[in-house]
Amino acid sequence: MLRLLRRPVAIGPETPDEALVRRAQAGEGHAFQALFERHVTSVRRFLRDLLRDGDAADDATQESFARAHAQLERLGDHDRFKPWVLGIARNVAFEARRVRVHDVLDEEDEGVPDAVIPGPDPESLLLDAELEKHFNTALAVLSPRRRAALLMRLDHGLSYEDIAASFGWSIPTVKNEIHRARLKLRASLQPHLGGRP
Amino acid sequence: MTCGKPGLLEALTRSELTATTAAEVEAHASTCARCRHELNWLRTERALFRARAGRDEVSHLWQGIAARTAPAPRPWKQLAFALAASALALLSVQQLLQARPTVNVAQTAESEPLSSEPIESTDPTACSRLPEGLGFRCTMSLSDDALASR
Ligand SMILES: [Zn+2]
Repeated sequence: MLRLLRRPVAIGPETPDEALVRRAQAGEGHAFQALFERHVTSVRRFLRDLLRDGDAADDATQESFARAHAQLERLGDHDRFKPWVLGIARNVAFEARRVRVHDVLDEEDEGVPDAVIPGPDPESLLLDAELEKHFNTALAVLSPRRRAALLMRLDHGLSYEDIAASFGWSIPTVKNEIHRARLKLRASLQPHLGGRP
Repeated sequence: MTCGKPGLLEALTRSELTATTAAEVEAHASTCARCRHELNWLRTERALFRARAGRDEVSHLWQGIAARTAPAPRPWKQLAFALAASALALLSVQQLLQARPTVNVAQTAESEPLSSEPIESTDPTACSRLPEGLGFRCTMSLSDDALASR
């Protein structure tokens, strides 16, 4: 009863995810909306990279947050909202593409380059639309699970531990998968970077 | 020093090192071709990912989610759950008595056990909404409770 009379604490950019999750779990709609606003760009981009279709990514983003809302009370690690919602998004995308998260990765041992790939010069990198197109294509040719793991780490900054927990893989497996994905990405990108050996 | 520790170079690009360690790693990479090569790639990858970030149009997405996450009036929700639980329990009891006396009423919603820690729910529909692959095993404890109270 007292809770009804208490003035809600303001939500700002400095409010940690952990507090937002607790408040959303207690039924504060604004707290869940704040979590949405904080992570929707990341989730939408992740889904666009997995599904390669803007409209499908929009639908999958809405489905992912609706599921997150429905299952929020199950999130015990209150500071783990981002890896958790990205895991949900990954599952939504894989359901759409009929990829099973826990399948063995054997069939994905697609040509990983073993030679040293000539290095780019990040100082003279020209980040134009043309390069971004090549970058997106290089990401797209990676197998779905390997791409998801690579994106979780490189684009969305998740720890190896969080990725391992999300996929049900061991940490060495996560590191190996990301390493292989990285080599393939570099090999695809290299001709478009004007790098020097 | 960093040659055997690729994680240090990545931590450098992610600004996760103390100023002292970062300076040491930078100094090493400036004299070691192998580490400089790796560092150049790591910085290029980071620049490419950063260039795309935050450009997606997402403002239209909340409306669809707001409609699906509007809070239901709590007393009615609880009553609905209680009714659903009673119905489930009745069905289960009926089945137990009629056909399969050895069936365990607590059922695992997901076919594959994903984790050693089951999650108990009082929401009878929650298990069916849990997507695969989150590392959770969902157990509906509700039928048990409802049975016990009878
Ligand atoms: Zn070195």
